Amino acid sequence: MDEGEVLHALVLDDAYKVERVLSEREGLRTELVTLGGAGLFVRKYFAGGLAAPGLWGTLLGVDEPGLPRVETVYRLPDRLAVVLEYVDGESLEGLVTREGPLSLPRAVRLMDGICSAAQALHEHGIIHRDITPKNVIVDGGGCAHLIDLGIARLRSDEAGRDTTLLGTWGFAAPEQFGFAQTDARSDVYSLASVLAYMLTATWPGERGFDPALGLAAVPGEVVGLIGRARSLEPSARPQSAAELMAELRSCVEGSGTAGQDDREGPAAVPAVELRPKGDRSLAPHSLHVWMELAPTVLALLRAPRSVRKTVALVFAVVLLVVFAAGLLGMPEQVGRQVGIAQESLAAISYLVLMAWWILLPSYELACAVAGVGEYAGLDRGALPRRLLLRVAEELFAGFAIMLALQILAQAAGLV
Amino acid sequence: MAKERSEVDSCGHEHVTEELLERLLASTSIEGYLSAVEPDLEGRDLAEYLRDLLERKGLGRAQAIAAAGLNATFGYQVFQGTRHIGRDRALMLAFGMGCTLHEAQRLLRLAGHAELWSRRRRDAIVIFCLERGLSREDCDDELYRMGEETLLPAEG
Repeated sequence: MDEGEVLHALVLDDAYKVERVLSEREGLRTELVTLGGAGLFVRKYFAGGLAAPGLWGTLLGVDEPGLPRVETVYRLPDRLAVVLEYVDGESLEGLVTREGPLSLPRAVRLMDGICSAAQALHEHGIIHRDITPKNVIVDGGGCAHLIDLGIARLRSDEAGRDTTLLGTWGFAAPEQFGFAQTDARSDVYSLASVLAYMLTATWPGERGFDPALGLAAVPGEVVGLIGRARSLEPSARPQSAAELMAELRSCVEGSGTAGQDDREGPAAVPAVELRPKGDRSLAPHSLHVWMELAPTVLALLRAPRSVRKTVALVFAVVLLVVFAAGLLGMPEQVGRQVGIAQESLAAISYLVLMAWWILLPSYELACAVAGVGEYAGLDRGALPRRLLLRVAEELFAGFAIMLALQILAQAAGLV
Repeated sequence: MAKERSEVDSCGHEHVTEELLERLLASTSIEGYLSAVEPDLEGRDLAEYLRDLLERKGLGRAQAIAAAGLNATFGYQVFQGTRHIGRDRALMLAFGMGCTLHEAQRLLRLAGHAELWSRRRRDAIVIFCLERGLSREDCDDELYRMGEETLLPAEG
């Protein structure tokens, strides 16, 4: 920055009077400021690595009721300053803590506002990444506002792991904790978590969350939608905030509870079901992964006895633990717990599969070097070719089976 | 004993060390003295004191830095407390903010430097200019005229 730029920025910076420091954590400082008679604003400072001028520049001039207006953005030598409209109201967390679970119509109305705001962000290529009840403000008119884009990022930014601030446990999608690239669907996960929170007044991730969701006077379709939108696998979720909202509306209208006051009693559909109507997400999703297990099983069968026994034992133990944990829940929730068990199993299966496909070539190489099994009696020259053939054979067989099963399943309409 | 009195500034807060000593000796309890003179106690760091001065004088950072003739980014970092400032540059800043002698002495002290000493020729000139409310450029002119090194390093 040159002399003039710095001085200019300092004049701007000093023009705002700091009324209160709202929060200060590494690299991110939020203040409540006033500007002469122009009113109250929120000023955020982003230090070095967290600064995303492109993101804020994109938001300048965006006029969306559910998003705070960006008044100005300016740069200082060591940070970026953003001045935003101050949204007056109560946080959703405060509201639910005070009033308890919200009625379905009210939750839907609030979701409408939150989803519109999120959709607007996504359309500008921004992912919020921290949609939580703390960051939703409900104003005097009952409208929801989405605030605090502290860890938001532009979709086009660095691929691979997002290394900066991670998100709020329970509301942030799993991929935010480093497993994959985050995108609009990560926000969809958070949106569904917020919906669940509104309906149950329980924090997702807490022990009482799933039972609470089952007991709430909420149609099974909505519960199913929440479950689907909070899948481990992003492709299993509604693909956008708008889609989530549309599905929510159709669930609510479909079950005829739109506008109904929940004080009248539970909805017509029993609150608890083993496999909620219309929810087909769990079965196909897990089937997809079971199919990928097949090549693993195949490879295992061809492995030496000791390896087979060990792996089979480990797998059996894991299976038992997962299902036992599931079954220890309340009896009525077995269906849901099985679903969760399947999800965990899916994740573990991926890991086992990856491990096997890394270990297989190593195993073959070791055999080749030791000159045992398939490689016994071969001369040195023929070893590499045989090794390559063996590895290709195994991997090909695995892929072929997987592909065949996928085609079959699609033909049968299961996926 | 001649008493030094600082100019009464806008808040009337700044007490002179001699005055404080009198109060301390006259106090009946340590706690009483300490709580009464809280704002005057040393323990503030330079950045905090600078911000304090700016507020008292109704100045902005850009104004002070420009008047001091300091590099903008450097000045910003000094006000942030992330950069150490040398003695001459601290004096430039004192001029830029229109400090009194006592304010300048405190500024130097907080910046970890020796105070202005009237026995030293160059310091004496600076004290003279400071007390007369001259600008940093005027002071440098005087220093140059008297054959002393200027505050702003000469290009060469």
